[in-house]
Amino acid sequence: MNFNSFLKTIFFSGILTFFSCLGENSWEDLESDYDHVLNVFGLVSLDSLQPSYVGLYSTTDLDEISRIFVGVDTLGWCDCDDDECGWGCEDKEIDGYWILDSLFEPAALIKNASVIITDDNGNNYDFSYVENIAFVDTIYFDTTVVIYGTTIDWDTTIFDTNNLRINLYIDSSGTFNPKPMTTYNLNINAPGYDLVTGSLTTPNSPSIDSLTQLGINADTVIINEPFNIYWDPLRGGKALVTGEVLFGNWWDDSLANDWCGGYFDPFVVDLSDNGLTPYTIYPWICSENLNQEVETRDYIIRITAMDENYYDYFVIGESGEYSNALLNYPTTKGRSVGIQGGFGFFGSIASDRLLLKIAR
Amino acid sequence: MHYLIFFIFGFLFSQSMTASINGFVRDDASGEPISYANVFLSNSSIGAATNSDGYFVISEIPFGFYELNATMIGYAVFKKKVDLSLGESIRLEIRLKEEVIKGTEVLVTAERQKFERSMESSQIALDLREINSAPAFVEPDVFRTLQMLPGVQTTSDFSSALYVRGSTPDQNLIMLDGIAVYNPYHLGGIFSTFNTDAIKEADFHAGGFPARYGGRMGAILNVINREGNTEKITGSANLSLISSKALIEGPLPKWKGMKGSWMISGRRTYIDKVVDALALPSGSKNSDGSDIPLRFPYYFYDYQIKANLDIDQDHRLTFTRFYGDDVLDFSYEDPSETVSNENVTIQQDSKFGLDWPWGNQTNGLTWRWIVSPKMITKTFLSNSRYRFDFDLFFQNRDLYTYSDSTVINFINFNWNIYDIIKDRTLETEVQYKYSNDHEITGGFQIKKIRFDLGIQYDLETQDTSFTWNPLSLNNNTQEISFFLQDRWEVSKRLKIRSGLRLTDYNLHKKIYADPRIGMKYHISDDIALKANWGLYHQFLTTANNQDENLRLVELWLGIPKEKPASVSEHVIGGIEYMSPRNIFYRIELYQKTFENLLTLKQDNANEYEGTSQDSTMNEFWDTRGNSNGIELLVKKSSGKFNGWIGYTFSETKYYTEPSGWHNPNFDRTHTINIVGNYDLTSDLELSAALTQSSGNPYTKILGRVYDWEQSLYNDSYWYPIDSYLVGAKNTERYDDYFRIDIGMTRKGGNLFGLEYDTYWQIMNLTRHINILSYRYRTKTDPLTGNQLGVQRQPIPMFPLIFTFGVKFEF
Repeated sequence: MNFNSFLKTIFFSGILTFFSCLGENSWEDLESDYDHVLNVFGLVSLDSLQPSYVGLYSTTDLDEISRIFVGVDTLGWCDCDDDECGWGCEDKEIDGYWILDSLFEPAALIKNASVIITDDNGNNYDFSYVENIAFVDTIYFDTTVVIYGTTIDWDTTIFDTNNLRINLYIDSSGTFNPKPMTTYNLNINAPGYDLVTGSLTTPNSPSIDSLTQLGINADTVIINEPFNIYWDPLRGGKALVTGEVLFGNWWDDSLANDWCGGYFDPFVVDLSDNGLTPYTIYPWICSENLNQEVETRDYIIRITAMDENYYDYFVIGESGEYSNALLNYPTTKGRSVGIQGGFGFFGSIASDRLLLKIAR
Repeated sequence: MHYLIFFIFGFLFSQSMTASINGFVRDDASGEPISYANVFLSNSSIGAATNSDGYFVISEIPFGFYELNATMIGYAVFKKKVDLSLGESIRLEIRLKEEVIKGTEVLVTAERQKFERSMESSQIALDLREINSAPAFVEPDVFRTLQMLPGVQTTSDFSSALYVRGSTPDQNLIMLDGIAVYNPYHLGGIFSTFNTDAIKEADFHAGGFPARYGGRMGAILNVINREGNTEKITGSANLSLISSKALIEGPLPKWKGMKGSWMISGRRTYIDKVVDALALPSGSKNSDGSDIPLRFPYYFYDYQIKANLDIDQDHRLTFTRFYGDDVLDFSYEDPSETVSNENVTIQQDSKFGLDWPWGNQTNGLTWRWIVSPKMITKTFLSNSRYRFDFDLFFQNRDLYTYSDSTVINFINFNWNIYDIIKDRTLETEVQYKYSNDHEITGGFQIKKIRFDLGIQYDLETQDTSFTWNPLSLNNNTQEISFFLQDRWEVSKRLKIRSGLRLTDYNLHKKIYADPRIGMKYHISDDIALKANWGLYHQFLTTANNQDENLRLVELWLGIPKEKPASVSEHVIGGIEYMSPRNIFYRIELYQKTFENLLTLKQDNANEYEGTSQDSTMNEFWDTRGNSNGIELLVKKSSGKFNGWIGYTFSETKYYTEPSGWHNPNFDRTHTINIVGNYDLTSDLELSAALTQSSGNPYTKILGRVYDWEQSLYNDSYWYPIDSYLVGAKNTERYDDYFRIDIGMTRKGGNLFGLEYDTYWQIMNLTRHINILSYRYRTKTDPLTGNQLGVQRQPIPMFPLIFTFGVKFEF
């Protein structure tokens, strides 16, 4: 092979290699023609801190709008003098900026359905659609700032009344007061959709009896040491045990990032365990920060009893028999737990909490 | 009693009235044994074919004077006159000389020998020429060549794994010189671990294999390496775009009558070395400001050694060793940062990296003893180890220096996933040619396998350390098998092979029986009917995601105690025709059923209950299935133009509880393969391959729905998870697959006295987009952020790829 042939070979090889990388690979819009069904979230709560409600949506086709922009939530003001906010102030002649959060809601909200829950005495409870509930957002300025020419002194608190969009069906009469071990039936009638019905039997209300650590009853839990909790035995049922260290205003707590301890993986217990059988909780091990002083925090242990539907939906879950890492969302064949005629679930919970201190 | 004595004496007398000839047929230049060579006596129907060791035996020859012939394609006919006396047994060493084919005599007898000799259905023996001449990805690969045969499918261009008649790759027994190899792949499955330069032949059974093989339900592939040149030291080197290969072989020094040969071959990718040599800057700097050079983090290598020692004419020892690894290894170190104030100086160092070797190692020692001309025994001791050891680490160290003290805080985190299989096997096989009508093979096998599959987290700080094993599965399994089979030539037209394999699996309290029977009936000299039936048990499985289109590694497990052994039943029937022009035609129908398969459960959502023993790696769905199909093959093995056309129609269905009956993701209904090679001139060879097949199945998304997640701490809240609603499993198919590859080999180059060949290939000549999968995104309105709809984009397999390489011989 002479030099010219060699050059031609290299050139030809390069052209082929270059063109090997080209090809059509465009995005295509997907269509589907799927008969829509109602998508239901129905919760009957015996927990005084948690009301019962029903969320109602529809399935959507792949070419339909699934989420729409509904507004902006003001989260707070970031001052350019603050190190943590400095990144947004680069190359701009501003004193600071408002942190906003875009609000979206499902496009397939069903707002005009008839939702009725009936107890086993035949009493009907209407659940009406509520779009907003009002709440007051508190913004506290700990430095003096100027916003659009207006000076706001430090130590000023602004009370911002906001409408929180909930888009849920809640008890319009205010008389729905679910009882333990009671059967409730759900009936949803929405124009253009098949009737959806559901049924559940509420769980017993759990009661935490005590917590012991190192062999003695404890009002204050020491981190990195296992502890036992005891509850009053009930006739059957499952419950989820969780624990949380409370920080109050977490974003305002400079030591929050350094905290560890007290956390454990939630686990399920059988409430019918005879006697006061303890469950030993082994908190996550963490190292103590030698530079931090000993401090205590509020600590909540919660035990949440679940009815069969809630347990089936949130604990057993759906055994995913199809997975694809290239899909930008998870997949489901569509679950119906406690309901018929649609997807979703109708379930019930009842909770008890134990408020303690946790120390390190 | 008298009749018995009379019968014994009569039998012995009749044996002494006959003679036998046995021996080996080898290549004269290299000494390599030649399989399927035809050895026969002129003007008679007495003859035999050589086995994979090149050994033949012709028995029950009436005494007299004969001319012995030995023929094989590509070699001159060997002739020798022999004079056989009563009861005489002659051992011959026949050497065949290579010769360009001039007449058709050799063509007819060599290919016809395979046609007449082969009893098993669905068997194909590929020689090195066929493996090397088929177009392949970058360099020849035996698995890629097999994928072009009917009945063998693949899931993508990126995988050389074999899906055979509804069986997944873990159901195939892949052997190198008889030693099982687990995960025989490099580069995540793109290449097999078998270096074709070292291969002599590959014996492939797509199904219906005899009782001497066991422990698998699908197919058998036995890759046989070359033995080494017994005459002189020779070698070759090969450079392709991906790897460099070398092979050297030669005779062992003769000593006290013992002789032998050896062969060493090796292969390694070189891109990492090229990048190292270029010393390109990576963009990062060391703490002293110097550049950190760019490193290519991946390479693979393998080497094979084979040595044969003929102690005498009856005893041979063979040692084989294979070692291969893929290594993905990179680390990144943040330059040390130091901050200080009047009270303290803090120095921070951090490093993270990945060290991930995976590969195979095999060692085998075989003792072959020719007990008598009619009896050969082989005893075989081997070990095979596959290990996969994924190690991700992170290290962080903070050094606090005060005026009067120093404090070190550090955290070292290590995440390790490992899968180690150790297989030790002792096997003995006896082949006894009882008569010209009966060839009996029997033996036993003891196989001990240890599986270790686990996940481990190690965390160490300055004042604590712990190790967590969320998954630790290990079992020790043992299979003890006995087998006996008889190849019975009932008449000139009818041959029956029957056999039974019994296996004791230590985790189950039962003996598994695998009866197998095959039949071949010659309707005429050119047409034969074949039928096979058999049961095939398997005692191991893999824990891989059934939906993955790219399978980088396979995670092996022994069948647990509480699960029954997997079993498959094969029923195969076919008709074969060898034309006068030496073209082979075959139509074959098959039906396979599968019971007690295990499919890994995916995304087990029960995160609140269970211990590490309930982790997803050992949760399985009981699965059953079936596969049916028709295969057509037309194959021309000799002449200036050779190749084959294959067509497969197949349907495979698996059943699991959540999915019901469905097609697995490797099921392709129609497949056409056309492979052709043409010797344009004596030093220019052209090749081409075409594949057209149905697309692989996938699950369609139908719409969108909400699923909910919970958070139950002090506050309660539930939040919706956007999810795709999917239809029935695998009811949609990607677009049809189509690809044309062409290649050219130019021989006869000479560089500084070294002979070399160059080869060029173009893969996917027409640049057809074959879809591996789709990726999805949500179309969003840039002004409002509204989610408008879903889009998808195909992820293609191979684009047009141009490769070339050069091979030297010395």
